[in-house]
Amino acid sequence: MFSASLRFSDGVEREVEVPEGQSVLAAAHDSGIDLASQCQVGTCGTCMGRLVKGEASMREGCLTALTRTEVAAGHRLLCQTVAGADPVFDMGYPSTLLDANPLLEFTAKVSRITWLSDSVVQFEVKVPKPVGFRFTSGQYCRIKVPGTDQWRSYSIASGEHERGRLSFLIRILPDGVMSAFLREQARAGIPLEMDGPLGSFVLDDDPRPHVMLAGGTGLAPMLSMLDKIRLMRPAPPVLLLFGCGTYAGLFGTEELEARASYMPTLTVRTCISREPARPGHFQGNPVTVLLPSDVPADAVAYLCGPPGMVSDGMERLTVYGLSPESMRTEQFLPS
Amino acid sequence: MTHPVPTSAAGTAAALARQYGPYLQADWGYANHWYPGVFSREVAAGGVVGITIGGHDIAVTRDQSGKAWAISDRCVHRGVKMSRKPMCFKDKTVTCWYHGFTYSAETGNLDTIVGSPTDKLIGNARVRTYPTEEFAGIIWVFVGDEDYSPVPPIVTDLPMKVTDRENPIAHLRDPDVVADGIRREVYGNWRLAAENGLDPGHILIHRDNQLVVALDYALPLGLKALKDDAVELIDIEDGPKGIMERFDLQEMFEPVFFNPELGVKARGSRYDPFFRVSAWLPAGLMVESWPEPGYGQYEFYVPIDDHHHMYWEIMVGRATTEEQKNEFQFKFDHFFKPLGLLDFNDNDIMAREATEEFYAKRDGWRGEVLGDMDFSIVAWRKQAAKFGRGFFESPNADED
Repeated sequence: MFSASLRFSDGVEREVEVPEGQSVLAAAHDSGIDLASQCQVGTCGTCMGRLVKGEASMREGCLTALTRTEVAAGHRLLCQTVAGADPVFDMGYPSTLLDANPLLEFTAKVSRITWLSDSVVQFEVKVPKPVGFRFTSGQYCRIKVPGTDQWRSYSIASGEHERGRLSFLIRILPDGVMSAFLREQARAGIPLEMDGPLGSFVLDDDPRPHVMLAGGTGLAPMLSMLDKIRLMRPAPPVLLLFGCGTYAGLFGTEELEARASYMPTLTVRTCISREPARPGHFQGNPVTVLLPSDVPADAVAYLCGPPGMVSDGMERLTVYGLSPESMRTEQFLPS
Repeated sequence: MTHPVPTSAAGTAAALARQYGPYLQADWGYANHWYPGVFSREVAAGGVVGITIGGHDIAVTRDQSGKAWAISDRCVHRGVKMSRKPMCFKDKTVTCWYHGFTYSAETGNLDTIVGSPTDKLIGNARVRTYPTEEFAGIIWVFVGDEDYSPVPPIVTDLPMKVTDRENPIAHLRDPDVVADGIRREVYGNWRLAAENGLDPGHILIHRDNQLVVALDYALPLGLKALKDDAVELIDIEDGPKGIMERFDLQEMFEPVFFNPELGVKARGSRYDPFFRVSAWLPAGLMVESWPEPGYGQYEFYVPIDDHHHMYWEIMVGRATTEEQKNEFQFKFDHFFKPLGLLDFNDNDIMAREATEEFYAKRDGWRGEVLGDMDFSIVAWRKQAAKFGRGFFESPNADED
């Protein structure tokens, strides 16, 4: 038995007694505190908490979505965290998140499919109003691939006020089941089983300068967050670093240009890693093109992309003087 | 095929649409702005008038001291609109006609229930309130999120005060403004109304209007923008945001008086070089020097829901003496209102209703094909996309 302390971003702090062999996540659930979580087996990364005091270790031998950099920065998956000495976790989201945005299962309808590049599709669905779906910018949904038993997770790209018209960015892979569905069967009107919202990678209402690092379809939650930041008064400065591998795969450039035109505090840097960059673009990835001067001491950083980009980004931001509590991360694996 | 759209043009419409994404999302209107609610003359002390702005049902009332208040027009008890049958038993309260729930007009708190004065709900239930201001014969209401703070000053949501001319039209807050007008509910999304108001390409519909013919007004067939800055983007710090069509600058707009292909000529001989149109966040229009020098018209296209707006048509002049005020009123009653606000603007209403059908039911925002003349409309859309403070959302439970 040990006692874990959970600190939420709205200042609420809760204590949880964790019996031998139980995870912090399960123990919290048993004491009536539901935390953001999804897979329960250490692969999705949703239940991440950041250790800020004490000790906490995860089950030996489990495959986790965390890199060594992240573990060193205090990140723990609470569904796998089973031992500790008075650990204190920073949860990075408000205690009201799950009550405000209850997890729902529902049927939505495909409304539009737009190919944005040779490998990225914008997928829009309509959620019937009686579902009462609500989410916070940065969260994701799971979609059951029609005709299969497979579920896939995608961040919501549309803004919070568009909760009846959700938009997702989906990377098309040669042998992915969702990719096959999108290539071959998807058309407007098809019903989709979904659940959500999930995830603890959420935007704080924060006037500090924002630095966003987005790799590929990791742009999706940033687009939703930008919709919210734009309406803040005054809107904080945002530097968005967005990277794709090749020009054939690059998407969203016109959208981002437009956003910068109607959101004067937004600066976008688009980078290309595997081909020579054209004028106006940067050579490299969102991490390598990040300069020390891009990261004010009071900045808050949001990172979303493949695991390597996220952990490299955290290291780079640390070198530039940002502390782990000023970083929010979400990573994804292609599937 | 009923409506052939060239593929390339449709592609262009989608690319263009991206430039003002938030504007396309504002089907219910922009939240967290000031809107005209009711004319002052409509609300007597103890009276209640119901309005709907962006899906918010609002009851506007007035206390015995003359101050206007606005609270939610949905009684917490059974959800009826209290304005259906105004009832007031005590100063600065509104009583619901159905079961007597009585709210403070100032705080929205449930102060008592007529037939159940010891009910436990009393002191524990409330309706929300809305900030109000009153001037120029209008009660204005700030509508949006209840916790939106700070509430911006109302001048940020009015057309700007004209400062670049010798005899500017009266601003709605000027001490010597005289104003009168009408408001009516019109079928059509508020954006289609705003775009109709500022559209320099639409003057063809006014060619045969009584006012134009009677005044021998030289209404061109069209107005062609000559330069990129023919439409001025106006962004006054802590002030109004909008666009101004510089019809007053000859180098900016070229009037088209003749179409050789059709042999159609513009009519009339009188032309006013001070005539100028500008559109303002959240949903306002200013027409300077109209229909005569010294006068102006303000319009507001206040969203009711996604398919209806309250059309406000307000004439302004300047007057300090009783005689001047009477003269303005006489002209309003016998000239401005019948010829301008009714006959002339009825044509605009017809245009909006006709446009709504396409935009609401046939995905017009993606299917439209804009041309040179729509320069101002695109500028307005971009400016509105940039400065809207939030979005109204449908309050209806049963929609997809």
